[in-house]
Amino acid sequence: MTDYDVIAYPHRPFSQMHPDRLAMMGRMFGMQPAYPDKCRMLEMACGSGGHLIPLADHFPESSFWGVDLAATGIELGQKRIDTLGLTNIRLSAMDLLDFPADAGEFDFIVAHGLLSWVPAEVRAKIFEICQKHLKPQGIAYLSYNAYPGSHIRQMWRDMMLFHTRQFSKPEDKIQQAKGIWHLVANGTLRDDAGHQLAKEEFAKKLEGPDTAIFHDDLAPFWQPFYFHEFAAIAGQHGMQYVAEANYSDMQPTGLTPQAMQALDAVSKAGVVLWEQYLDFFKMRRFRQTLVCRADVALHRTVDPACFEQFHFSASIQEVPLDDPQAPEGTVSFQNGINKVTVTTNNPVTIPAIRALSEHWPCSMSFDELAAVAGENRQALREVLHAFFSSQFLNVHTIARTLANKVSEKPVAWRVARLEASLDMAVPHFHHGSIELEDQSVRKLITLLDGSRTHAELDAEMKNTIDLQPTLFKMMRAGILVG
Amino acid sequence: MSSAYDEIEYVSRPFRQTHPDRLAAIARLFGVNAPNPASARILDIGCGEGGNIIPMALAMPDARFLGFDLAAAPVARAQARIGELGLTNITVETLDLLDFPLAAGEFDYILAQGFYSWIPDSVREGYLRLLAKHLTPNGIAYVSFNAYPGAMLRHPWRDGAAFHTAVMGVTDPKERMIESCRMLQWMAAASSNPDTWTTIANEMVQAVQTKGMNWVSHDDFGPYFQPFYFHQVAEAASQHGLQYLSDAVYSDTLPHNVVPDVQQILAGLAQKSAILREQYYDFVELRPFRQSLFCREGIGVERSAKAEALREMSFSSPAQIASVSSDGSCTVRHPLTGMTVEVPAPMRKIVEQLRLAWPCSLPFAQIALAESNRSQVAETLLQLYGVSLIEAHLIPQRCGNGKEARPKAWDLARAEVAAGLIVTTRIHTQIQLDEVSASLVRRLNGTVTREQLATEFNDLDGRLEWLANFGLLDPDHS
Repeated sequence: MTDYDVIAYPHRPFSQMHPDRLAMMGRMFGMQPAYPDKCRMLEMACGSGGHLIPLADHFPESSFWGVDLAATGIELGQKRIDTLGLTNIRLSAMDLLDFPADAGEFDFIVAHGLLSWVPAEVRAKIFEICQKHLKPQGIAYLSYNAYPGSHIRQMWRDMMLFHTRQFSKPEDKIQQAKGIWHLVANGTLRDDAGHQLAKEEFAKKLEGPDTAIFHDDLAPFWQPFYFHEFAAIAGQHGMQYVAEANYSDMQPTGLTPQAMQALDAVSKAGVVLWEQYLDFFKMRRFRQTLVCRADVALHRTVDPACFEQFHFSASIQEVPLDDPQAPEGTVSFQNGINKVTVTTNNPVTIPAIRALSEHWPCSMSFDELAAVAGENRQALREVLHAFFSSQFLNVHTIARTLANKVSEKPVAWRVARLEASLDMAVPHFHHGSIELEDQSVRKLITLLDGSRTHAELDAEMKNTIDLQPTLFKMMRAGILVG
Repeated sequence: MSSAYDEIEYVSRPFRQTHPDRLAAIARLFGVNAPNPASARILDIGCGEGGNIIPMALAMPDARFLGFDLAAAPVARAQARIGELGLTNITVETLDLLDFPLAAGEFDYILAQGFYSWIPDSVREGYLRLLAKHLTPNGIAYVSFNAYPGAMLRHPWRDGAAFHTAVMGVTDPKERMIESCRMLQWMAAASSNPDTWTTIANEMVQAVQTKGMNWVSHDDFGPYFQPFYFHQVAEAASQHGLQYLSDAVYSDTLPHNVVPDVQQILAGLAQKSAILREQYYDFVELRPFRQSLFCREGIGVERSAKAEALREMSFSSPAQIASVSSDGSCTVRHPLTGMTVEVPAPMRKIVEQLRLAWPCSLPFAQIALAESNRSQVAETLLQLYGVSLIEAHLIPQRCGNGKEARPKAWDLARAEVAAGLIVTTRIHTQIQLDEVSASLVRRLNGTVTREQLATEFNDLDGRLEWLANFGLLDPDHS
C-alpha cells in the first residue's frame, strides 16, 4: 500500500512530455528521434495512465507501457483501457527495482514527479533504466525539484512536516499543513520581505490541488538537485543533457544586462555550467529535463532552418493595440491559453499569425505558412523560432488534425467523452486538459458521439446549456475531432 | 594549525548580548540563581582577537577569563592587547576545542558567539561535551546559531558562491571572498522584474555593504554553514544534560510582532513545552538567527519572567523622551538602537530618572524610592525591559559623566585610539570617533585638568559629554 493508493495522483496528460514535444526538442538540437505516431514509449510512475491513455488512443501505431508502484491507480487506468478497447497500451503495478532487464528499448522514457520523491536506490534505478532501455536516438524526460529555488519550498516543507508529524490521516495532514502555512503567512505583524514571500507562496499554494501538498510538499522523500548535480549523475549513467522540455525555460529572458554579461562570460564553459548560472539567476525551483545517450552528437545552437520540417499551431486572437503611436499596419495578437502577446507590423509575420489563428486547433506545415507569408522562408524561420522561444506558438513534428469548425453532428474525442463521464479534467487533442466544473458541459461532451444533431443535443440537454457558444468553445479547446 | 580565520580577519568586537551581567539578569528573571558575574569564571569559545572578553576583563577585575580560538593570528593580537593593558585576570590561547583540557575546571559563563553553526559536526559535538563537563551547577551557556526556517533563504547565495568560485577555480581566500560577493550581487540584480526573493537577496547585498565583506565571508561563504531548527539544538543540548533557559535578549522572547491569535497559540504551547513554544515562535517569525541561553537540567526554570527578581538589580537607559501627549503618555527614543516606543504616563518618570542618571545605572530601591507600590514599579520596569528600552544589571553600571576635574577615558579606548578610530566602551559597545574626539581620548589619561584640556579643544564640555554618553569615561576616582 503506497501513499498513492490512499490519495490518488491527479489523472492528467502533460503536454511537456508528449512524445511529439520530446521528438521536436530532440530534432531542434540535432537528434533523429522517432515520430510520436510510430514510437515505443515507457512512463515510470504512470499513476492511472492519465498521460498515456490519451496518447495510446491518439497514436494507434505506437505502443505505450506505464509502470507504477501503486496498484490502485493501475486498476483505474486498466478500466479505462478496457472501456476504450485499447490494445497498444499496458499498465503494470511494479516496483521499479524489479524492472525487467528484457523490457527492450524505448524511443521515449518519461517520469514526471518521480526523481525527487524516491529513495536514493530508486533514483539510481531510474537513471539505470534510462541508460539501458533508451534507443540510440531515444529521449528521456525527467522532472525534479531544483535548487536554488527549492530552498524556499524546503522552508515550508520543514515547517509543514514538523507541524503534521502527529497526524496520520492524509486529509488531516493536508489541513494541518495549510494551517501552519497560514500561521506563518498571516500570524505576524511584520511586513518584511520574508513574510511577504510567505504570503505570496501561500496564496499560490492554495490555488493548487490539495493532492500536490500531500504528494509533493509532504512526501516522505523530497530531494531537490542543482542542475549540475543532475547532469553529473546523468553523465555517470552514460547520458547527456539535451534540453528542457519547455524551450522557453532555456531562454535567458527577463534578466538584467549585468546578468546577461555574466552568462556570456561563462558561455564557453559548456551548456551545463551555463544553465546552472541561469538557475541561480532565475532562482529555479523545478526542472523538466530531457536527456539522451552520451554518444549522440548534439549541436547546441539551434539552426532555425530546422523549423522547415515542423508543423505549427497556436490559439491566437487579435487584440486591440495598446500603443496608439504604433506605426501604420501594426497589429497585436494574444495567445489565448498563456496570454503571451506579440505586437508586429512585419509583413511576413502578420499573415502567418492570422493563418495560424484561423486553422487552430489544427496545425499548419512550414510550407503552408510560407505560402501565406509571401515565401520569405528565411524570415519566417526566424520569426517562428522567436515565437516558439516565447511560447507564443506550439511546434510539432507531425500535423495535428482535428475539427476546426463545429459540424452538424459534432464528435468529441472519445477519450474526452470517457473522462467527462468520470472526472472534471477533460483531455484535449493538444495533450493538455481543461477543468470543467460545470456538470452540464461535461454531460454535453459525453453526448458528442457524432450521432446527434444540434437540435437533438438541445433536446437531450433540455436547453440547460447555451449550445452554440459551448460547442464553439469545445472546438477551440481541441476536444472536437469531427 | 591554521583556519579560515587566520587568513581573513573576522570582526572581533564586543557582543553586548553575551555579557555575563546581562545573562545573569535574564537568568535570575527566570528563577535561575546564576553566579554573580563580578566574581565569575568566564570562558569564551572562538574568542578571536578577544574583542568580546578583553573589555569584560578590564571592566570586571574580579572575574577571571579564559578565551581560546583555533586561529593563531587573532589570538596573538589578543595577547598583545592583554599585555598592553596589563590585565592579569584573562588568558587567551590558541587551542582546538577538541583538545580542551579537563584540568581547565568549571566556568560560570561559557560564551560561544558565531560558533555553533560554523564548525564541523565533530567540533559541535565536542562543544556540547565541553558544556556538560565545564559548566558550574548554576552556570549559563550562551550559544548563537543560524536558525531555520529563516536561514533557509541564505542557502541560495551560499551555494551560488560555492559554485561560482569552484567554476572560477579561485582558491585565494581574499579572491574567494570577492568572487562570492560578486555572485551574490549578480543573483540579487539578475532579474529585470525584481520580485520578493530579489528583495531578500538585495537586503543581503546591502548588509554586505554595511557590515563589510569579511563578515559575510565568514557567516555565509565560509567552509561551514549549518543552520538548525531550534528544537534540534535544544534536543542536542538535552542529550548533554542541558536545558533551554531563555533567549539572550529578553525582548526577543516576547511575541511583540504576532497577531493576538498567535500570541494565544504560543501561550498554549508554552504550557506544554518551552521548546515547542520557541520552535513555533521561530516559524512565525521566520527567524534566521538565534542567541540562546542554556543551563543544566534539573534547575527549576520559571517559564515566565518574575518581576520580583528585578528588586535586586539596577537599571540604565540613555532613552530620551521625544514628545509628550496630552494624556501624559510619551514617545521615547533609544539613541543606541534608534528604536522609538510609546510608553504610558506612569513609565515616564522612570525613563526620566534613568536618563538623568545615564551613563550610570540606578538601583531598584532608588527608582522605587518615592513609590508606595514597589511591586508596581517592578512590573513597570519589566515592561520597559521587555521592549529593550532599559537595561537590567547585576553589577551596577558606573561610568564618568564628563564633569570630572581630570576626566579619564578608560584604558581600552585609549589603547585602541593609538591605532584607529573605532573604540570599545565601558558598557560593551563600540563606536567610531571623529579625528578630534580621538585626539581628545588620547589626552584623557586622568592627569590632565579640564582647564588645560579646554585650551586644547574647542567645546570641551560638549565633547566630554558626548564621550561620557557613550560610556567611554571612567568614574571619578579623585
